[in-house]
Amino acid sequence: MKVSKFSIYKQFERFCDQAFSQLQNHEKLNISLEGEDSLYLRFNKAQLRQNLELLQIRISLHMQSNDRESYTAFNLTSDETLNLSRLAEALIFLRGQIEIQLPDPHLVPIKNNGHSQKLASSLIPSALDSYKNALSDICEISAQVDLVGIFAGGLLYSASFNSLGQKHWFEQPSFLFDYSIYSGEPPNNVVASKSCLSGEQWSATEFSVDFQKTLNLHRLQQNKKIPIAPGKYKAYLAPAAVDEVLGVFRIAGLGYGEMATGRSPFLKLHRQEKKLSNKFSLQENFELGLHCPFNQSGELSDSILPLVHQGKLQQFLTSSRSAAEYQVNSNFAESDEILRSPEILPGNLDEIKIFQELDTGLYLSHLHYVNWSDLESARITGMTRFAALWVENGKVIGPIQDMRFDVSLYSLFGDDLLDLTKTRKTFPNLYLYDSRKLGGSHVPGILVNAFTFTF
Amino acid sequence: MMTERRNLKDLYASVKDDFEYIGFRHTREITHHQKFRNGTQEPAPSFVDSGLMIEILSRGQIFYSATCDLSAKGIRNCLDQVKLFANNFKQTPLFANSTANRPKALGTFKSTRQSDLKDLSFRELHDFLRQSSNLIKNQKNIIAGQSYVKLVQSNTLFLGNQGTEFEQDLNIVGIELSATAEANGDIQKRTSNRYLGRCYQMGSEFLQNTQSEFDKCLNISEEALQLCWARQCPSEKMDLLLAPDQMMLQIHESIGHPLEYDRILGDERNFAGWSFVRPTDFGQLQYGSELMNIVFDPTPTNAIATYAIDESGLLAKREFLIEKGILKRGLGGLESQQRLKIPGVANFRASQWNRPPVDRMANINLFPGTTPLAEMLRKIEHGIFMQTNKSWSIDDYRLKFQFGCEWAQEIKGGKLGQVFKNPNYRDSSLQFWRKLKDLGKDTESYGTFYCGKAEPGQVIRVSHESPHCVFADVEVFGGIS
Repeated sequence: MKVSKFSIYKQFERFCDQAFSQLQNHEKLNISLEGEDSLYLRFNKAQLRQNLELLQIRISLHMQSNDRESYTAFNLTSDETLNLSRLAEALIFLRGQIEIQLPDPHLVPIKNNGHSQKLASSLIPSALDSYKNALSDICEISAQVDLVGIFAGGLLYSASFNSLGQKHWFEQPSFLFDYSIYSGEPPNNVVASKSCLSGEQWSATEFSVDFQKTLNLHRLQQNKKIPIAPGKYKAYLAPAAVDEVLGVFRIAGLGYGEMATGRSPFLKLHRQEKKLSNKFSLQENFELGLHCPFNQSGELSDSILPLVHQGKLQQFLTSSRSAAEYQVNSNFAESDEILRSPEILPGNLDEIKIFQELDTGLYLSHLHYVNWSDLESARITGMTRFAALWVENGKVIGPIQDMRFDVSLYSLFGDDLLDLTKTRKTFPNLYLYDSRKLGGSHVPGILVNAFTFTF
Repeated sequence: MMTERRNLKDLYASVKDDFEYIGFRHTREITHHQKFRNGTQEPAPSFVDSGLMIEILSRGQIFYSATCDLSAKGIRNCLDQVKLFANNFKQTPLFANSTANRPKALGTFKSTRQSDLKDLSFRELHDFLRQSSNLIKNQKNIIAGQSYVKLVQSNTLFLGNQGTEFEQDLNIVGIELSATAEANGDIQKRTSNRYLGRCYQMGSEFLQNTQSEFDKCLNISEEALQLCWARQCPSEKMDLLLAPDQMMLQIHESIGHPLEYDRILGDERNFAGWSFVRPTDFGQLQYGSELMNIVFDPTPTNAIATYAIDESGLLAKREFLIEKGILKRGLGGLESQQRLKIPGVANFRASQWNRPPVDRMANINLFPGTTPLAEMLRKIEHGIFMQTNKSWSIDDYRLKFQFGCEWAQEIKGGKLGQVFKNPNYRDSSLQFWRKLKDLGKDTESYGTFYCGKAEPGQVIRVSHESPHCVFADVEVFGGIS
């Protein structure tokens, strides 16, 4: 990763100046940037399966003129001539789209949403150097086991400038290592455990400590798998499992637009036909440092945005466009109205004593392929996976055969929620499709009274 | 594009003899999303995505580096990155890769089109989308009428110092119409065959057949309302007749993914999962009933995943995966074939320039039978018909699945009866396919732009052609009243 921390900023700034200088009187332009300069390492059997060094910088242009708007995007290069030729094509396209449109009744005028700049200058050299050691560290520390996983580290960028003077820039070095350990012969004797590390600086020592914890969890699964009959069980969902439940909000969740068009699983909560537990609170928290505080239009959310507080719905994630269409207040959500930096507030459970707290029931370290099975009743389905343990009188008896569950969030975070842990874990954004992204979550484990298994 | 191509060709020519193997893959892909809701255009992102992947073979390992910076300096930086990584790589390769896994490919491939997408009239497209969404929202109980077209123009140039020079040029169109209705205290959505499920290699000629689309608008609008008033799908075991637009995902999840060789090899275990299929199963596992014949077919004219070569340079041809219910062959490119020591297919694919290739599905199709649909129905005394997928989940070995559909109808005494809402079914893959007891004689093809797997994740285009199918004694259930 040899890109200077200044070169992308300076190139982007120069590009924006040139783009804004070509606008006609009635035109406004917002230019946003999302990019990465990353090293990816994919592992199987504790060996490198594939590497990838990747530089991708995408800039998105949003033009407004005469109550109409258009969008396009392309990649930024280090060659100004090439960038300007792409800009010229883009302006033709943007103006052409605007010309054929009718006035947009829900258009939100581009405005100057201020300035901010987060450069990570002091951290970058040592962070990038530490990522170069990740390959050898991982191979050495996990040499005796069958380890599978993905390391991704490098710089992430986000920016939003516009022709009215707005300038937001955010850059951050970060890494994630999401991995699992396998043993045993498939299909019936496989044992698997999983963990995820993330942060700014890679450390062999921290990985070594985490790896030992994962091995310890692995050792708890050495007995023969216990078949579980369909039915309801008391269960503890570890933070990683809770993070996977939050992941389903990407498909449908707390977006205002979804609610207004009848596609939110929380419509009944909104209409007060259903309720959640007063132990459950969910909010966006940009103070966690997981995501830049501005959206692609440069709008700044409050640093803490309560969504559900003690079981009561406070607000949906509302973009300015939804606000304009439905005549409500914007809380400056991103245009897709999905969670960016959510946290679930903690409870009173001591995670170290979790088997005793569970007493008799299921310990679920992770969940797999969680999806909505019925939006109207906020029901989700998925599978157990990795360390799913049967616990009796506070003692781990052994792993279970994987089961499918189907449960409503009005149960999981509602009537059947017993408590949440005091400690929480931070997860990076593991949605690596197409690019590495800012974001993540900060969540506790949860103890529930009735988790329904189907088969 | 000319400057970009000139830059990369210049550098390639100057360095190609310095490596045991070096390959350049440049893709430029223009994507337009055009959506209207209730007659008003929604924000419509477009993206001109252009980038280069460089791969080099060194001491038995292929290393990758990719960049969007297609200046001469940017491409040189990309090459320097991958060389540096390769030089510093001290570990043992997972397997001994070689130039045998990068065969020479020469030629061009251009997907079928009557009229290139670059000549599409956006004004005409907007008129179509506006009219469609207004037609869907034809009464007050329809709270959202949406029309959506996704257009992709993709051009990839492969260069490799084993002599490869190949260009693939694709035009792809995806169409979706959806109606959301609110009535009877319920909200239901009905689509024209799922989220962009109608996706094909074609040009702008789709705009010449708008009447059939307008007919669909009225149908889905009516059906969304019917669903609001319908009863919940009952919970019991019965014969299940599935329409091709649900078979699409059934094939995808319970045949396509478990047969991917890199899954069988364990590469995907941290994320997408493993497979219940073992290497010794090929040639002998009874995957399904004798009615079941499945092919990997990269050749159909309009299918979204039709191509001439995969990303290794291997010529793509049709192969049987399952014949008369017996598993014959899986989905693995040359690298995986070497690792497993069994034959595969040309399916080593990458979603875009920014990802290395892995084993992917492409067009995976179920052969039809001989039974007309009316006769299939007549043979069912007590059963249910389901159409159009809306939810899906399967375990990490690709066995236990659960699917939900938009639409269901009771089948009683060989006739379609009352409509049910929120229909779901669950089963286990081998058990399910062994219960396949009837196949229709006519097929339909549906696909998706968004088949996801791998680490780092990549989504790729796939399609599945299938007839209507009947499965015996399947557990079905509904939502909560």
